[in-house]
Amino acid sequence: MCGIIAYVGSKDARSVLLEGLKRLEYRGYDSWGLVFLNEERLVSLKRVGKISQVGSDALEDEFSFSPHIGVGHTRWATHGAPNETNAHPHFDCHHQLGIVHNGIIENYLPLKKELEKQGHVFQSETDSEVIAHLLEECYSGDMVDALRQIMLRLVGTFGLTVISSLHPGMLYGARRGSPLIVGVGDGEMFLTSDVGAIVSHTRQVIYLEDNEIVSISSDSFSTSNLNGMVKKKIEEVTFDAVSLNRGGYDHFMLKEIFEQPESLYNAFRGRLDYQMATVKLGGLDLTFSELQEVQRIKILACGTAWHAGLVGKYLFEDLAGIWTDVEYASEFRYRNFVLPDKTLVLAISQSGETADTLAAVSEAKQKGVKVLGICNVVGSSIARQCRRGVYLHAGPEIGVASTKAFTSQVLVLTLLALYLGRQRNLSRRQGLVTLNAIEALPELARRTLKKAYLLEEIAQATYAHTNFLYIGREYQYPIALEGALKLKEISYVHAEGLPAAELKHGIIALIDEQMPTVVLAPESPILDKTKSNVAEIRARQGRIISVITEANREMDDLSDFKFSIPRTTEFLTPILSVIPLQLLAYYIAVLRGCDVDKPRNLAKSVTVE
Amino acid sequence: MQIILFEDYLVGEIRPVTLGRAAFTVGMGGTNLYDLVKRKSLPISYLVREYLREITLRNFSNEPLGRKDLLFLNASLPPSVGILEKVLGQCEKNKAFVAQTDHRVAAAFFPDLDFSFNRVDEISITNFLLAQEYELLEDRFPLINYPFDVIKYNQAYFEDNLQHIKGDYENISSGVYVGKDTKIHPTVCFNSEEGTIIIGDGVSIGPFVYLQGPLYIGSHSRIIERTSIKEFSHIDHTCKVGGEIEASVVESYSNKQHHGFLGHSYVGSWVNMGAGTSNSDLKNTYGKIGIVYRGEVLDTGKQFLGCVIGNYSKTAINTSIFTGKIIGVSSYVYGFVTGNVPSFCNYAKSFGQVTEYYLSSAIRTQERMFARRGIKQEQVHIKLLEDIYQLTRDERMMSTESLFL
Repeated sequence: MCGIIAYVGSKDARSVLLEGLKRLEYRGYDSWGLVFLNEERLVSLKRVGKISQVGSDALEDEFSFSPHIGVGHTRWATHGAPNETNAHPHFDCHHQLGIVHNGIIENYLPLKKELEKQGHVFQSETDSEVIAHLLEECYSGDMVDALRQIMLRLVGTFGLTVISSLHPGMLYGARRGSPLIVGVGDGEMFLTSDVGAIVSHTRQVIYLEDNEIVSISSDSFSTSNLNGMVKKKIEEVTFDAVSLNRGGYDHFMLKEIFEQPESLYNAFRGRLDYQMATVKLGGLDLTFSELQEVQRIKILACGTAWHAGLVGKYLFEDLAGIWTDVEYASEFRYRNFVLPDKTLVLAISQSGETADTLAAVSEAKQKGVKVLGICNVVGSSIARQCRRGVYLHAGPEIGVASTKAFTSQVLVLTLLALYLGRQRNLSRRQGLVTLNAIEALPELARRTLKKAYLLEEIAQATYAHTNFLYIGREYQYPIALEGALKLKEISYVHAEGLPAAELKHGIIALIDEQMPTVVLAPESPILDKTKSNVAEIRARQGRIISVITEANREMDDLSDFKFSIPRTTEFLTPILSVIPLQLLAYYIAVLRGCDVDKPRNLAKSVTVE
Repeated sequence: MQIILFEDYLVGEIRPVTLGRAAFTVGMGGTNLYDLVKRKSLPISYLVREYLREITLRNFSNEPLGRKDLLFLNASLPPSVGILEKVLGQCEKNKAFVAQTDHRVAAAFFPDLDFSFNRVDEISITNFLLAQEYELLEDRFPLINYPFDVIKYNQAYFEDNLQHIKGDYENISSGVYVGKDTKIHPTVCFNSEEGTIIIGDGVSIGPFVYLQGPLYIGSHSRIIERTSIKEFSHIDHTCKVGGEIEASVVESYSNKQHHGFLGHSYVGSWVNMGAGTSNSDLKNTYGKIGIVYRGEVLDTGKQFLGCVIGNYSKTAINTSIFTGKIIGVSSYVYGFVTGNVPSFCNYAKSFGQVTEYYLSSAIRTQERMFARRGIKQEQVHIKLLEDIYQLTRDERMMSTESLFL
């Protein structure tokens, strides 16, 4: 996720911004940039890579003057590769306006075309640069008025900060859907996307609401919205700065679990098309007829991404009627595999650097089939190798155990299945139901997360067990696998996921009072079958932890512990039902004293075979 | 408490029933949702598709929001006094709840909600409601999802609704209730053994008419001589009816005044059915009826199912409509109707002709029909036809050698 820090005051802006950017590091980024005002000129620096190694002396070498106003930004690429050109700040044609931006401008392409026709020259591939040129176009002496005008034209989300040589001593900010906070100091003012970046300087803050604009100087501020001036209350930040390192969470994994409402939103934002009851996926780079010809899909992935792929198999077969196989990339690459004509290969990897998946992509491409990448990291090796695909836009995932990337992968696979389905036999009505259910997901995820304390209680009662079973049927089977993997990864507890009906083919022999079973039992046409399987476990004194649908009482008599998730379509339920399993694994790991973010023997991105 | 009737993201899919009217104005079971709710003397506001706002306001008042205890009712709920009482009973607990059915919100109550119509439209209202704090109810109330659901739910709640509203009318014989200024010929035969019969104000019923309950005839309708109207028929106001009708809905200002059978069907407003027009509502095999609807093949689960005819459509003399067929808005059909008919279409497939019916012609016909009923055609009426014409373009685009819905 991108981060913003801006300063105006009497201190040396170089050190304030450098410290602020380092405090924003925990959000993750791939590049960073700074801009200062020196003698009515904007002077900037952009770099790819870590800022933690940059010392204040290095900045002093780059900027020989001592600025008192400036803006800094950490970038997580969404549009355009992570390089210095695409890093923020971006400037207008006359280099008089510098902007940094968090969020995504959905209508940047038509705006860019329009501005290019008017003679604007763009330097980067980003959506953000369009803001600088649009601002230049709308500016006629009053920056706040110009911001109002561009806000009426921008579609998407933004937390935006502007520095201009036309208004020395002033900084401007605006927000819609992406946070922006004003820090009020003694003779100094700040703008930031994250209060943690400024808390060592001031605890007096103003939280901007959507469609609000702020202008600040070292000793004053003024807030307005699209209609006129608004009065804002200064609030005091009360929490401890130390806890801000992970956005207030004890571990990155927990932070990322709680980020899922946002990451899910980012996965579908700008992609839903109600008019045609389908989705828009810009990066497929395949013609309509090429996609219509697809007769088989082969999904290649490893680990958690493989589980997402398994959900994808059910989705593609269910929604689009396309025969789909899921294969471990590590197995695929060394086999004499069969890829029939008209097969589409999907490669799924959060980092886009997974060595086995990368190698499998190369093999598949050599056979001449079309490969789509589903990655989170823009410009990663798999994304570049595939040259076509869908990004997750989940933001950086730092916790080794993948959480938000998994749900985003499943959601992106749903988008793709809907797209292919609508080209085939999926009705308009089913398309609309799917779109509406997708749009509801962030709020439903939020509703699920509000009950996290219940999982903490269940973890308290079960963390001492050394074996767990996870069972589910149909769409819930891959979630059983994923839940078991999460527990294994971070708590070192043995866990096994399997289709519920497979119990009686052997595994049920393991059941006793020391073997808790997590049952994925949300509403589905075959819930009765799952209940029969659970009854068999109960008969052998096994303890049952059920994940059920709200307001459904069918598992009441069969469960020792219950956790309910909101109702959604059956094929989107995995996105909600995995959340309690992530939390259960997390709380058990914490109770067992494990290092959640850095589990033993594991690395975040598996770049070796 | 204030009641908000809201259309949701699927309302436009109940074609052609809701193409020209808000879902809460669809008549069935002796009433419509708006009128049924209005009987509770609570302020009603509503959210409808933008192009229907002005025309809906003509006949259904939209109160400004003035309260924070709000009951949201999906406009696709079938009008049923039983469902309404159950929902209102739940509200008495004064705790926020949502009742979901098939990925739609059927009803939701919030005792203290800041709400503004500026924040939502029919696409976003469902997820707006789901984003609030609430308890999810176990109840799953029925919702109209497909056009033939109107025919199904028309029967389901008919007698209960008539029992609820019969007090507005004068009881003239066992199970028969009539309004003011009715003209009922002494030879009319009422059969209320199986259900109540309600006849609205100013209705005229000719000689030798047979009426079998449960049955509802709306105000100022005219039933011509020798007509037979049987159970579960809902004739809305200002209709002219003859021949044989069974378990069907005929919306206001429509004419089906000659001989011919209409069974288990829905007929929109301003429809004219030529003499001898009949529909089939039972397959020769007596099997369950399946229909093709907007790309889906649906098993209705019904053994009896007739046709659905959109507003402003006309049938020529001796038209025969096959089982489970859907005719769009402002289409003109001739001969055998063996497939679905898109809106704005001249359908004479048995004579080898299927062409578009021009919008300009539809507007001229509307003016002539209105004049016969003493109604002046206004811009709002013309615009509604224009909007429906645009909205249904996709139906006509789906056609290959002939147009089909």
